[in-house]
Amino acid sequence: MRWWVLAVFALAASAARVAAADSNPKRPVIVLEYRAGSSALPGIATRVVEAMKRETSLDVRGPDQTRTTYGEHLDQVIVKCAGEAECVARIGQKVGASDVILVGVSELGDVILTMQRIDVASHAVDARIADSLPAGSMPSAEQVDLYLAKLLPPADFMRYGVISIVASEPGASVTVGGEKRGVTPLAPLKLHAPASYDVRVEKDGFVAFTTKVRLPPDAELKVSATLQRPGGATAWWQHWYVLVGASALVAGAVGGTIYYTTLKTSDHVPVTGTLN
Amino acid sequence: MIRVVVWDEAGLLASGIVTRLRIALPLVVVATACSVSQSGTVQLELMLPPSGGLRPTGMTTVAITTQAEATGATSVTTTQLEGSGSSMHFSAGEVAVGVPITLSAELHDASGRLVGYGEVSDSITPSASELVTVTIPVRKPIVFVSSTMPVTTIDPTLYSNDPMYEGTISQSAVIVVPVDGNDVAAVSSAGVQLLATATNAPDGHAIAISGTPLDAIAVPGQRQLVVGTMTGVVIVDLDAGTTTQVATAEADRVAVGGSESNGYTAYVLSGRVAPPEGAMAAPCGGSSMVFAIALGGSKPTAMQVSSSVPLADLAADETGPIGADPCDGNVSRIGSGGKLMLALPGAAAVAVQHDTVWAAGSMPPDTSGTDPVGARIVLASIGTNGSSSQSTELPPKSETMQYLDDTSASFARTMRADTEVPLDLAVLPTGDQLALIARMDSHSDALYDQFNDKAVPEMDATVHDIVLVDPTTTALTRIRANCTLTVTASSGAEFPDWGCQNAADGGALTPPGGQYTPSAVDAVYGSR
Repeated sequence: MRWWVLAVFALAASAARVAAADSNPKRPVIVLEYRAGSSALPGIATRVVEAMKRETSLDVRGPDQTRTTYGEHLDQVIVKCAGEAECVARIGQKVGASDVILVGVSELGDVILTMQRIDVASHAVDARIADSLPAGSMPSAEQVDLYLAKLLPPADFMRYGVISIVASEPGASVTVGGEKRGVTPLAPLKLHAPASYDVRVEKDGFVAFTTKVRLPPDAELKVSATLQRPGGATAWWQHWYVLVGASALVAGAVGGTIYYTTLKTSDHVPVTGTLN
Repeated sequence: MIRVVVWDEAGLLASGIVTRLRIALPLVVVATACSVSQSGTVQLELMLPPSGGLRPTGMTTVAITTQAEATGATSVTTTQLEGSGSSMHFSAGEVAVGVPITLSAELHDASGRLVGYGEVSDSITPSASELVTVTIPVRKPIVFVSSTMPVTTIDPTLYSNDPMYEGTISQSAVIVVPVDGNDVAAVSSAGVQLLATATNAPDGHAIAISGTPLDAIAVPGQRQLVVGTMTGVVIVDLDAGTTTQVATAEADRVAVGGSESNGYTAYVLSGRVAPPEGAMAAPCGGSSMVFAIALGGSKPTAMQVSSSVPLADLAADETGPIGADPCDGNVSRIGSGGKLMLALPGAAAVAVQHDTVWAAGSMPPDTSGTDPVGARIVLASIGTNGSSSQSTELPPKSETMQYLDDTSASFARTMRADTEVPLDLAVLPTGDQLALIARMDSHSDALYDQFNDKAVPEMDATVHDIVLVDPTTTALTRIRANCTLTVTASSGAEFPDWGCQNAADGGALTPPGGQYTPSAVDAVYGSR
């Protein structure tokens, strides 16, 4: 990346922060592509659209969708605008968008990728980023996300929380929100928030652990699943000598067992708790 | 509690012991078949703030309350906490399998004082075979007092001489209302800002609302807020950040009634009739309107359910709205509904917590005897089914004014309350304490000496108190939020300069940040 691009990038980043005033996180935004005689970075606008749809709460429309509303002459108008914010904003105005993301591709030896967020109401550029990429390369998905993070107000991004599920037993199957997520040990799960998730951790030979958690946005929630063998006891009874001894006693104990189990209300379970 | 160790077939097969101990198996199976019972457990995780002044401290016992969703049958198990520090745990009896229940937890210290409370609105169903884990945010029942200044807090789990008893947060709000155990909502003209109860710090961005807010209340278990404004109500989805406006008249007070199964309804009091404030005030009178707005639909609309009854406050329960009529002096249901009538002079504040209606009114001053007493607050409660009404009077209200030019502070004048009016009422969780804002107005004529020269000028006092009171014992803590004394025609008087006595000398606390005029009160897990 050249020094002047870095400077632009830094300036643009600060501009984005300044422009990060509260706005409707579901406002319509269109993404347009402007190429200054360059065929590099094919499909970059589409990738930006996909990333915005994935990462933000905005009502995002790509160039094709915008063309459907605006008309087939959209590309000619974009070329005619030549990146002028006021002209591009008028496109947004016509299709009812709140913002226009103008993705520009040009070549000065390296490929220069610029992205501007133009506020349709004020016809002004609210944020701008630029990056210099080696010819023939493509920005990674992480890079595109980074561009968007600089370009859009934080409130536009969908919010996530992280659930870390730690089980007492390895190899336990984990289901979160009805979806199987793998077996323990399991990497922390990044999930949409705020939301409530049913968590189930199960393994053969153990009582399934179930709980419901409410995941606040930007929070990290730890779920400790202690899997217990049926009865809640440790496996002392699995030792052969215990069973042999028990076998000798069972016959005489059966009557008493029947008595006590009928006496005990078997339709109740204990309540235990911890303070965390 | 009898614990039966269970050997079930799944565990045996999984262990591989069956193949090794064929001789023992038949007997064990017989025993298992005979003694099979439950292996399920309800595991409660009481989540406390990790550190800081908002983390409950000093707890020695826990009381777990379970309430059957279908029948409302309530069971409370109080048990000693075992362990210490971060490894505290407890066993709290048993619950029936297959019966949906809701849960709440109370932490008490050695003196029985409530130091933490938590509840979950979603019911759980205990299982005979599975571990059901319930996470309950447990918090101090911090009281939030709103005014034109930043919101002040009161920590009722501390003694009032503790320097942390009163505090402030950075937000200003018309009202701060509890949403659930994790959040309260600070409502102001700038919008609705969630505050995390673990830190009292903002939780996410503010949600803008249209109109000037006057009152607010959360919809139980819905993370939804109903905000009363000058032009109607705004229904705020706190998770989605969306708002829905419903036009009514000015929404002075709002309440939410109904239930999860039958749906919730917001009730709006428009045209609040305040009880008279001061001896010279006009007699109590006026008319109010009550609107109902069914929540949950895509296009909620307001329907008028009552008019003409003068109301100072509104609350609601499963059946419907309950109003406080300061002029006729009663608390009763609005419109058609079950029987509920609580006679309460000057009824001006009402709140519903679970199946109890709490209200505050006031008795007029009594000057007929040789020992006149000032007006005083009356607290009352009644079951939502109209049974078991009780009331109790707080001490007669007066405020002492001090002659300022006397360095020995030996010349004072006691001003008895002509009126002592409840402005707002919140019930702290469990109903052990009520938080009340009261306003006193008092007038005293000038005093003349034997030469008919004016000795003491005419005075008018207005005092706002925040009172935390135990309704059973009437033990109370008073914070004198402000005291304003207006001295009329003092020139020429022998003793012209007067001011409010130091609050501490009158047994009251003062706000740490200076005087303010409180307007609304609520608490974490509180009810209004």
